[in-house]
Amino acid sequence: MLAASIITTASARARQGGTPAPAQETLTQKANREAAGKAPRGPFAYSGASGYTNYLGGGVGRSPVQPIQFPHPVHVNTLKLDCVYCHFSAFKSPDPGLPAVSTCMGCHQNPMILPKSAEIAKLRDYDTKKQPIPWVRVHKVPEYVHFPHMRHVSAGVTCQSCHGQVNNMPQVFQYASLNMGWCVGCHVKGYAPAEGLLAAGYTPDSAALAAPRKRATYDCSNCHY
Amino acid sequence: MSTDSNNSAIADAIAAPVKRRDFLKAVGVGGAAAAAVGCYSDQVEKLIPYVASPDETVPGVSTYYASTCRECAAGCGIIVETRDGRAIKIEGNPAHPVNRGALCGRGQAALQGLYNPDRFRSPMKRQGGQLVATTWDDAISTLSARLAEAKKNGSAKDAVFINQHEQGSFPAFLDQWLAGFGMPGHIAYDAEAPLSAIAANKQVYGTSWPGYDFNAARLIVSFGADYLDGWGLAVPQQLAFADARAKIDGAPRVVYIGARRSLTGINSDTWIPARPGTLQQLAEAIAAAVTGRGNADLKGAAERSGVDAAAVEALVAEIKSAKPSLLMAGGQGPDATAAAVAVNELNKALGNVGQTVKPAEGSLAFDGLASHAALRDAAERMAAGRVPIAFVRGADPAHAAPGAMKFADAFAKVPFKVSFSTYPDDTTQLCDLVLPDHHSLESWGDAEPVKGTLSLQQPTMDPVFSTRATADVLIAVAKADPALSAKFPANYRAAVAARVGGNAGLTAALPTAIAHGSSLPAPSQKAAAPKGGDAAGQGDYFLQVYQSPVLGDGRGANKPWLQELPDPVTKIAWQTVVELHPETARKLSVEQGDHVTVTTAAGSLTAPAYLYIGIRPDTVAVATGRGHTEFGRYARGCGSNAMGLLGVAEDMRSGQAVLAGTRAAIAKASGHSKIVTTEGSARQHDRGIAQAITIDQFRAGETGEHPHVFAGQASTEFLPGLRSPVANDAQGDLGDPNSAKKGQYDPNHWSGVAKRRWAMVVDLARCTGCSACVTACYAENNIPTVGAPWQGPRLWPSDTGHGANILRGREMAWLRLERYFEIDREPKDVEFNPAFDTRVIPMMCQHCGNAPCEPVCPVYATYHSPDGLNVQVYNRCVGTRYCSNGCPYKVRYFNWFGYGEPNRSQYAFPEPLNWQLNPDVTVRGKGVMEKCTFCLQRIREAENRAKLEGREVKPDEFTVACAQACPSKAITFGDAADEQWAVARMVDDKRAYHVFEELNTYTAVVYLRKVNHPAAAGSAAEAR
Repeated sequence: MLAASIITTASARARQGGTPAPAQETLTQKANREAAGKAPRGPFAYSGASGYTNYLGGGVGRSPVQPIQFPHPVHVNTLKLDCVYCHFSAFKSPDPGLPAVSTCMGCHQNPMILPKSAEIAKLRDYDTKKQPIPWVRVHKVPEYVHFPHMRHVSAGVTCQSCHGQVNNMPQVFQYASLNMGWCVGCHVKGYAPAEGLLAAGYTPDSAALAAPRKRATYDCSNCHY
Repeated sequence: MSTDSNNSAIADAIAAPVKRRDFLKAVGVGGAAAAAVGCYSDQVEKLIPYVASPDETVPGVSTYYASTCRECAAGCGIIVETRDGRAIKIEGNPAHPVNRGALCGRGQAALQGLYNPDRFRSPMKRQGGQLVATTWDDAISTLSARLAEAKKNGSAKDAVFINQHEQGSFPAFLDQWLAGFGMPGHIAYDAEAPLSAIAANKQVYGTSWPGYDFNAARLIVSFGADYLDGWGLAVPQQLAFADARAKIDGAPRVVYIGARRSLTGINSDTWIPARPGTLQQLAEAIAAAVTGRGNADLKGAAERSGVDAAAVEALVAEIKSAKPSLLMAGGQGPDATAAAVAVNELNKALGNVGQTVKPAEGSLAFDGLASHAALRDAAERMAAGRVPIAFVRGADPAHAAPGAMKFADAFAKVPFKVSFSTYPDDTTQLCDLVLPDHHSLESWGDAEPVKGTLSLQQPTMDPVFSTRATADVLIAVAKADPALSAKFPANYRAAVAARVGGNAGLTAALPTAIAHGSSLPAPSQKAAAPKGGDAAGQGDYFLQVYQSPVLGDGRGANKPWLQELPDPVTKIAWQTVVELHPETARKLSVEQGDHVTVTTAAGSLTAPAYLYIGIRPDTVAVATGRGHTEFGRYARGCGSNAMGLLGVAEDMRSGQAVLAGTRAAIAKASGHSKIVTTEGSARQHDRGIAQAITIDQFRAGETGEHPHVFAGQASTEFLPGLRSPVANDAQGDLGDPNSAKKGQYDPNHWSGVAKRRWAMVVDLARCTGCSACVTACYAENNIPTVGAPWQGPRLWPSDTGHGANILRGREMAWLRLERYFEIDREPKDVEFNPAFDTRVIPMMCQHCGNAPCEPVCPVYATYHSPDGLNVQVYNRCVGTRYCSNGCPYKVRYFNWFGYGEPNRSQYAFPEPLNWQLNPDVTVRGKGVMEKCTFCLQRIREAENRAKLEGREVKPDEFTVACAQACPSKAITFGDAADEQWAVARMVDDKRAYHVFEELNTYTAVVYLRKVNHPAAAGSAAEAR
């Protein structure tokens, strides 16, 4: 039942895409409105063996409420921030990294940025109290799986291939099932740069279309140890 | 699904050719199979980033801090691996002159001290007879008030401060502080220190500890000096010993003289079992015979020592001819210092000083030590009520001092007792105020292990608990006194920085933690004149109390890794035993495990008997290290304290406690306990597991007792893309269907994964059996300890208690050290004969190319990877244990209980011990089989790093945890299919063999035979 309600929420959010613009709209609200519904729901992959069986499709669509309603659309689409500006270790560590409060405050110490925003007030509050922000985890592979982000990022796999178009998600939801069948699917078939660009919402150029699939090994001991 | 259709599914499966997986499908559908190893749940998990990201820290990537090990006096350099702000592993610092990258098990287990769940979490104050938590402000002001009062009324001059002996500037700093309050200098106490040897070294060589050059020696003779058991400087001595023995041709012959064959003894070629307390006579007679001066009554000395005169004569002849030789004397009998002086003088007479004994290259590790007599003197003053205030820090004399001193009773009479110890040890539990120190991994400090080399100690993480560095507490107390305030720096870090040229110098030196520079004068300590006691007493037997090579004087007992690490000689964990020779046991009608009572003038001890063939029939031995009344959940009530058997007696000349030679009576007691041991049989039964050859056979090119079953060199099996016939159906498109050797992984596969063959070489000529590799494996691979009393089975109350799981064969050590005695009879039938050979061999998963475990797994949880690893996939494992049945090496271990699951009572990592867990390795759940992975996480990490840098993995770029730690450098790991790796060259060694080669398993582990150096033919002391 829980699974069904979450997916209902996601589709309800998808419908919001068509609502007209309110009169007084902040940049964030505008970016969120424009982005909402654009991120396609994740690729369906069923795995009965996965621990994610509580959710149809292995947790796809899970979208927990975060302590701060961080709007990816305005930061990525409007302000053109690169993913690795905040997720700074994605290309050099198994762990992609989350920005420290001080990273956020690098820009947000400027009081002119949305002075009335309740969410930014929360951020400033964390900064004043010198407390970290307790983000709720959305994407997780089981603890017996070792997923090295840097190998995938440095091979040119777009972030959106696995995480979906987070830039179009006013509230981040789980895009892919993250179960083993889904992982192995790509490792067996190979990663096509053009598909990755399409997933990211870009139009692949001819070079990308012509590029061969990047193949990867799928030995058990690559990930399980 | 109904039973009918279930049956028909099986019938269908039988009709068609059944693949393994289909069979299980058919069988498994009837029952709900939920194999869960840390599966996803609805629990909300949080991601907590930093508030402000520290520089040079990347989440998920380790940061390394160089520091100095403080677990014993040696002062080894360490590198502490930290991940996301937590220390997770300690390794030796390869750049450090003392330990050259190696580290013993005790040093590695410092992590379990740091994260010990029983550490004090805040300052404590005694109220109503109990220690209760208080604030730092309250604790410091209480101490300041007491000190001000003592200073005013003049009672401060009678105060006693017992500090754990340590190197560096802290002892001098402490004395400066004590002097500020009118208190006398501190007692630098170390129950493990070889005081007799130190006294003799000072007398003969003019230094407390000379450099011993094992490599230059042609003959090494130990007069009770257990240089591989923790006597002296454990790691550097073992490194030097292994280097010397690894020369094979030209390696020194090794002779051990002592009543019990210790770890040093079993690594010697010849054992001369001298009676306890007779070393002096024997050493003096040998010296006289060698030099031709004095009374050379060899026959008489041999008779009094209870040894074969011919063996002593042969030794004299050998000492005369083998030049240079290296003679060392330890021993802890009443004559130990006299024996050591005689031996040192003999070294001098033989011209060994300068060649094998190098006073100029000595260590400062033991400078400033107080004698045992100084402690006894303090205890006597305490008992007489003449000590108004006593301090203790790190040292635990209530446990480690001889029982007859009644230290605890004396200490209890002091009106105000303060402890700076970080653990609730036996002494600290008696105190009125506890100001817990930081762990050495949390605080600043320094050491000067070698003259002119300063080794720094720096904090590697934020403190785990609300503790404070004692030096900073002392400064805070001094600042409260206006007369002293100006004499002390703002904090202790500043004092350390001052030694290396201020802050800039400190910052520059920290990456390696080694600074070369001038040294401070070592703090001097005047010991009170020692008083002798009556060591002899009554009884038909001699008692030898020996220092445990694993637990030391007991300071290791609160660390489960060390409790669970079997003693290298007896292979016993979690238990105190009385070692008896089988002859003695027969005389007393005692069988192994029967309780016996040892009674001396000072006390008695009842413990199970262990029959050991390496002890004199007139001697019984008990190890130190266990029998705490406090000291946390792992130590409390485990085993018995051997120190309780000892009278107050010191060697007159050095103030060393007399541990050996006390008279004891032995009687059979009622009761029987199973011996908590990890070994099956101490005999090889001609299986050729740990092989050895003599030096003559080696020179003649022979292979010894077990020649290769299959012709050809071991290396011919190390092909890339190793054939793995049994796993062919698991290889998918990596398998080469056209291969003549069916099932070979395709070495030319596009992925390149099949081009390597990971392999290991273990040189048994180097391995001493110290078991540091075992602890390294526990630390690296999140291996749970299983021997704590609450981890045992619940159904049979008789099977609970310490080591209950081990008694049932349920230990989890992926890597174990097997020890075999080369005698053909069962232990209970053995007559005393000092000439037996002992073999040690590290045994871990052999990563067979043709593995018996692989074809029997119904779910492909174990299979052969293209790079030559036998892989265990935990999340696939359903726990049938067929693989363990099939393994001829017995290296697979099953999680019988939820050792890795926090909500179970058997959880092996109670908070905050779980902070140590390696994030790169899965913590296994209940019902899962596990085994050595060849540190797969390290292989993948090296591959990932190479890939990011756009290159291949470089030869010998990384190594596995056991090889990294090994203080004998006996283990080499690498790609045997690539000639550029060291391991690929070593597998061609003519000493190479595979264990159980005749089983056709194509193992990836190659052992190099041990080489024995028996005495020349005709000698009575000839070793087998």
